[in-house]
Amino acid sequence: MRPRQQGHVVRAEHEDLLRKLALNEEGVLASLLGTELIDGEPAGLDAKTAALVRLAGLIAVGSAPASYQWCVTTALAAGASDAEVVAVLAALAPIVGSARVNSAAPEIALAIGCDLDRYDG
Amino acid sequence: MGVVESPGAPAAQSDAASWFGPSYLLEESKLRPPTSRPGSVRRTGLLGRLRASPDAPVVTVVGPPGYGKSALLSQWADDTARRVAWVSIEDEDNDPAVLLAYIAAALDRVQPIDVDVLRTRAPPGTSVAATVARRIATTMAGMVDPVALVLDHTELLHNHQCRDAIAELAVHVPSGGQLVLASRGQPPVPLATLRARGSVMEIGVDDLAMDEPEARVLIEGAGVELADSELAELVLHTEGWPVGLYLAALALRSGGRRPTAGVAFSGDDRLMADYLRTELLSRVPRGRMSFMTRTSVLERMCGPLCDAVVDGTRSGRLLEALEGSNLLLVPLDRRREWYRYHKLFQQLLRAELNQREADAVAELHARAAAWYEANGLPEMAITHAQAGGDADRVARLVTACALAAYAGGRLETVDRWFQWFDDRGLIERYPSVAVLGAVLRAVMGQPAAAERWAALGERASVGGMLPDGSPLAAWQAQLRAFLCRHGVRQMRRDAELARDGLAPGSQWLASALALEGVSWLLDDEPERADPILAQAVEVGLDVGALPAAAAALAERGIVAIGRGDWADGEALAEHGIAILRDGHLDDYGPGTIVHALMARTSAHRGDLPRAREHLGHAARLRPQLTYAMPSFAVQTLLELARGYLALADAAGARVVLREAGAILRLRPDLGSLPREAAELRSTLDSLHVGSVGPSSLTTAELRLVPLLSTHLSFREIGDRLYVSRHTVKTQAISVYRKLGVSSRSEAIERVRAIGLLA
Amino acid sequence: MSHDTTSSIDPHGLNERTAALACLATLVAMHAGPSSYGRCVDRALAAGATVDDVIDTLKVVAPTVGLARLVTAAPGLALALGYDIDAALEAVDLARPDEPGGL
Repeated sequence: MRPRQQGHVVRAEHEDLLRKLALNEEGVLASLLGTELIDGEPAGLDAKTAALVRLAGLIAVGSAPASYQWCVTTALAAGASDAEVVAVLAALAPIVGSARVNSAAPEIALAIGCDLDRYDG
Repeated sequence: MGVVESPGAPAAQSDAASWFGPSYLLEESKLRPPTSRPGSVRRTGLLGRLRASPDAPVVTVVGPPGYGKSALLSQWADDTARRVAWVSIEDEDNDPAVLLAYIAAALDRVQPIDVDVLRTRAPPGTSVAATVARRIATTMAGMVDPVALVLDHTELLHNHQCRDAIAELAVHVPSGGQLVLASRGQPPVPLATLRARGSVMEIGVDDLAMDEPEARVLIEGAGVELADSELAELVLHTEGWPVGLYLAALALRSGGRRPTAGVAFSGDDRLMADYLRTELLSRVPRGRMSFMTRTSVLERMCGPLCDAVVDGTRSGRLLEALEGSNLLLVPLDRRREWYRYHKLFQQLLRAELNQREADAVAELHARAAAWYEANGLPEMAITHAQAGGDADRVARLVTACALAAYAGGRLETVDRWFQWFDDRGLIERYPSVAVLGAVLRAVMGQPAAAERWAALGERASVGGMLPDGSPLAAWQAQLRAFLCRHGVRQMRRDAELARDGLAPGSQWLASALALEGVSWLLDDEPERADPILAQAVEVGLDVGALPAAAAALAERGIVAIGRGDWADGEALAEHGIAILRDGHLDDYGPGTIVHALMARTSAHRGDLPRAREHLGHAARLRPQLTYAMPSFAVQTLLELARGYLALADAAGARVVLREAGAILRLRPDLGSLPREAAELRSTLDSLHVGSVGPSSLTTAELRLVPLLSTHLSFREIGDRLYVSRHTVKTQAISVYRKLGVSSRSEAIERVRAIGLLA
Repeated sequence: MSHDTTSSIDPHGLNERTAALACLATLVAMHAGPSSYGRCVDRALAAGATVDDVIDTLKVVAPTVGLARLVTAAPGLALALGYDIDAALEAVDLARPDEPGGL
């Protein structure tokens, strides 16, 4: 861990902002981006499709685990099945390349509840 | 398990003992500091140090055996201004239920408390540390006088839940209180954290070693005079190890020589053992020697027990005499009926026994087991039968004791009893053990183990009676009905077989009837189900099978709601809740369905807070619902989905539906349940999307919540859950998000606030 | 990636502080790894930027770079400022002595 810069204090509000960003916290992101992340009443796409589309976008640009998690949770809450989430990965593979998909896959698997390394007693 | 008239069976029984049934007795001697013996050295220096830091929340006294840790704390207990609650840990305390019983009893002796607050039931694989620590701290904080809780011999605690609970308590000791831990090695507390806060006072080997003045007092107390230079040499050779000094004194007193090098604890054990053998034990008459080595297999001794073990007649007198000659025999009660050896001495005697009569050891344990069994103490008999490798006896006793122990909440104890067979590959040999073990694992939420044990139990065809008088075939049928591996119709057939075959007073009868009833319900015949379920309730209340009775009530409630009779449904749910509460079954997996029903009826009546409360309670129990009891688990999850729907919580409903779906994939033939799940899914599809909140926590995340609420690191949590640190971190982040918080401390507060943590 | 070449090759019109913050913005946009932020943040702070300035830079570029970049950048940027988010997410605050431990 780097030592604090001399004379430069990272205030609690900064810590909160950065930490919530790292968690993909909707509130702070919405205020930074100047827009709601998820439309309450989706006009064009239904909520589930919108979520899956968002997921595809995140995979395509490469994202942090917290972002994938947020997006998958939203998709599941909107009625997506595990199969549909996995299908997004499959559909993207030829488009964005296997490298992107492979780096996203484990985090997405975790988000749909595949406890990959869990021992079941 | 009759009432015990054996001599000196521990006297006064505190309330905590009643948690485990009328015949369970707390060992009183564990609740008292060891009596200080004439000639024991007063550790003035150390007592002064302790007196100078009266406010240290945690005190640790750490040193190898024989350094006088217990003696020091015993003296301190008299010295300190605080009231002292004392528990000497033993192996049986590796079950949170038992440990809490003793802590409750110890605190109760200081000042009457409501011991039931501390009552705990901890299925293996869960974590009660955070809950337990909070309850102990709150109890201590609520006492009139400041109290110190002393736990001696904490090195004997290897169970994770117990260690984590102590660690958590160490961080949350209420102001004015103290937690004092004596241990041979590293005590189960987060030392780094405590040191950083300056809240621990540590006493170690260097502090405990005796200096020359103390050594002189000890030696002279043993009746030996030494010149200064000789004393100095003795202290040097023993490195101030109190027991070493004492043994040397005894040897000198009986005419032996002073030890030369190597009689320190850090010295070679063999050298020390040799020294003792030649200088001390060799002068003990052979008869006594044989008596001592043979009785060293016992943790506690009384005259009749020793008579049985050594096949003699005057052990009682001999014990008194031995105590008198100071051969490291400790009386356990005022009536001088029960004794034990000083642990270190016992170790030496055991080593002697193994050298002299290794092949006699099994027989000695067998005699002890027989005596305990004959005197109405079957659980002690189990310990000795296990030590002696007498599998037949172990099987008989475990089969007889397991259900009662389970009902009283001593789940880790029961788990270990069965594990003993697994470790030795003996499950197949004892079908009753296999079947009972399978059922218990199923209800404790360990599906893979339940399947494995069931497979082993099914292969057995040996007949014979089980402790409740039922034939083995009936229990096997009951197990099959629980596991429901081949569909609803088969479950009914198995439940009927069990119902017909089980002995009239059997504890399983209510469950058999309940499963039979449920099988009709799942076959869309609620009118046939209801009377059978009613019978299940009656029988369950009759024999005291409370969880089965409560579950059967909930099933009847579901039937009632099905025909539109919500008032009846609510009444049945209330009755079920009352049974759970009065029977202290709050943490019982099978109780989840009662909460689900209660949530639905409350929501229907418009009492949303109550509905949420019960859904929250059910969420806590969800990790115990597995495919081991598929019909029950799926039914419960679907009822929870309906409950969430009634609160317009689509996200919460989806989560439980997905989990139901996962079980249905493994057990597709569950009557009407797959269709009901599909219907619920389409209902949800047409709903406005819910927002993601605490109700979206998956069962895996719910399993994490109790551990997140402790001070364990993510890596340590990963060790407990058998997952990687990365997985824990990822799941933790998801938990924070769903709780609407951004830090672990906030998460802990929130889960308490919404009832996700007891 | 080399050290400061800007001043020796092509003197720009921006003051050092602004230049450093511009580099920081680029790191966020380019999905840089956590280790890249250290040097850049040091440079900015040494040139007179405050922590507020660094955070404000993030706010300015947010709509342009989007959610994915912001979330990815946060831990590295925080660490460069001396705030270990990873540790912060795992740590449990210890209560003040007079409270029964936040229980």
